Amino acid sequence: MMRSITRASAITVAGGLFFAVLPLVATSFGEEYFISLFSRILIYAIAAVSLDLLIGYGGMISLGHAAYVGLGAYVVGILYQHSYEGQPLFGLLPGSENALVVWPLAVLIAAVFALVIGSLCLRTSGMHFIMITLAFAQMLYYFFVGLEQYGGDDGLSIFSRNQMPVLDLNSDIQFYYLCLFFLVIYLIFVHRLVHSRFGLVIRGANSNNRRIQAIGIHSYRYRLVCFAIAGAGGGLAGALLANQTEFVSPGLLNWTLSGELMVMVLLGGLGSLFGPVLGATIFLLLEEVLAMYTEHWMVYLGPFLVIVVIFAKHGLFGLLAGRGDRNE
Amino acid sequence: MNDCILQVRDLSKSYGAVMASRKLCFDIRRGEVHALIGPNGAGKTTAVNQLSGEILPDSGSILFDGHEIARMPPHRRARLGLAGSFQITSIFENLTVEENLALAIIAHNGHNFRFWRNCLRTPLVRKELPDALARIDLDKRAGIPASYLSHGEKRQLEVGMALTCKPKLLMLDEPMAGMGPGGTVEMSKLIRRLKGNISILLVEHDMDAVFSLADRITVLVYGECVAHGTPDEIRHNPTVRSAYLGEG
Repeated sequence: MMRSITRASAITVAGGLFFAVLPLVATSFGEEYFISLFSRILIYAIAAVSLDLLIGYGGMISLGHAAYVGLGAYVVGILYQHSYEGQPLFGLLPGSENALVVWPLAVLIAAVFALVIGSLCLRTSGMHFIMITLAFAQMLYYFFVGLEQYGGDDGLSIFSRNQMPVLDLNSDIQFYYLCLFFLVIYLIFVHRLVHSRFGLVIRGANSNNRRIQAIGIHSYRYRLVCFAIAGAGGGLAGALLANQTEFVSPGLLNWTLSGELMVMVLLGGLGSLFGPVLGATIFLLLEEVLAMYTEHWMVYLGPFLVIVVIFAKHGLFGLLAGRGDRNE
Repeated sequence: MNDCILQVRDLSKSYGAVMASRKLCFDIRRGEVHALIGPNGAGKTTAVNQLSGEILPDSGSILFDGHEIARMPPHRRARLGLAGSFQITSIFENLTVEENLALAIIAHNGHNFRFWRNCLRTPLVRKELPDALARIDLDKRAGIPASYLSHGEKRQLEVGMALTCKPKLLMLDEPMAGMGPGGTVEMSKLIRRLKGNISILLVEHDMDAVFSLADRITVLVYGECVAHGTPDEIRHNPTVRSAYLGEG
């Protein structure tokens, strides 16, 4: 047991070092392009970790997690447009390009939506839960498709990234390190969370919800708060993604992104925290490499995923780290 | 208030044409081990599930420690001091033994919206966990996932979890089911240790265990109470002998 724990932490440290030095190496080789690719990877990793909290630890299989990513992104996009055009939102609120205002708002709004949607979804379970989370996400997707004022189907361009004191977010290197900072903070937070009293209740409810009730815990509200925390993580990822790509479109709320996030979690390993980071990295790198040869790159991803799921029960991270984490 | 922890009156539950409980009436006194026995399909589990709140009765009343609980949701009954173990082993398989017990410990101590501190290192859990582990002889297995335990150990863990809630009434639904002789002895020892401190409702098929452990017995047949009494009275009751013990 000790040995596998050491292996898991060794991999984590190696991964941390890799992400920490990547921009320096990329710059010295003149391949700045990698910095923006890996910024994207870090952002997707935040979304995947938040989904892992839901699925891997909470057993709440949400197929609508993209909704919160998209909401976070649209908060950035809409506030940017109002700020750019100088017209207040609803004739009242001024737009904003200040990251210290916009990003917390994106997180908050994603969390509030997750709270409302979760309060309905969590009354169901199993297949119904999967379907109803998907249904809510698609409703939001079509809402933004129809929202002509903010670009509708075509989406919304952001001409300049949000502003932040001290940092210049338009610098790819600074933006990269900011994304890395947020990922590390979110990982630490979720790691503490799953071992706290709250986390024990969440994991217990995943394992045996009937038993949780029998020992006197009304698990619904804990699962709901967990749903909102995961939604907030999605919102953060969305706000960062909007800034990274300088573009927001309804595609960010579509079920295809929800599915991709789920694939990242499965590839990396359910309930392993660092697994989804690995999953997001491998998924996006595969996309990047394979897409050079064929636009039908998913044809190769599919069998790869099948092999991983069949032969590595705990995902790629589980394969590398041995039986590091006990949560299945 | 009185010397009964639980009073069941006219409890009825039917599934379509099948009456699983017909006007059940029985009392459990404080501190006694009360056994509920009956042939297969007599409605023992239905009765226990109505007590725990898993199933709501069609009519009748359940008075627990002065509270009417017949229509109360399960988690509120648990808070009043009614704890149970299930016929099918019901633990948190993906958590370790100590996490299982910790969860049972924190369940009765305020809210769990505590997001930061490792649960196993909170003062409350540190204070109560060693006793909880020792009580069920699983000290050496504390750190391993519950899914790795043997069947007997799982049942012990389950009872241990019910006990951390310091219940007033512990309901054990077939605690010996599926156990080898060794496990049965361990479980009997555990129940005997608890006897006198808390009231226990024991539903069990193993007649040797029932007659040696119980203070009083209620016999169910086809959803009806056909007899109450001490083990001796039940053993010599002609109705019970013909209906249940396979004689006459």
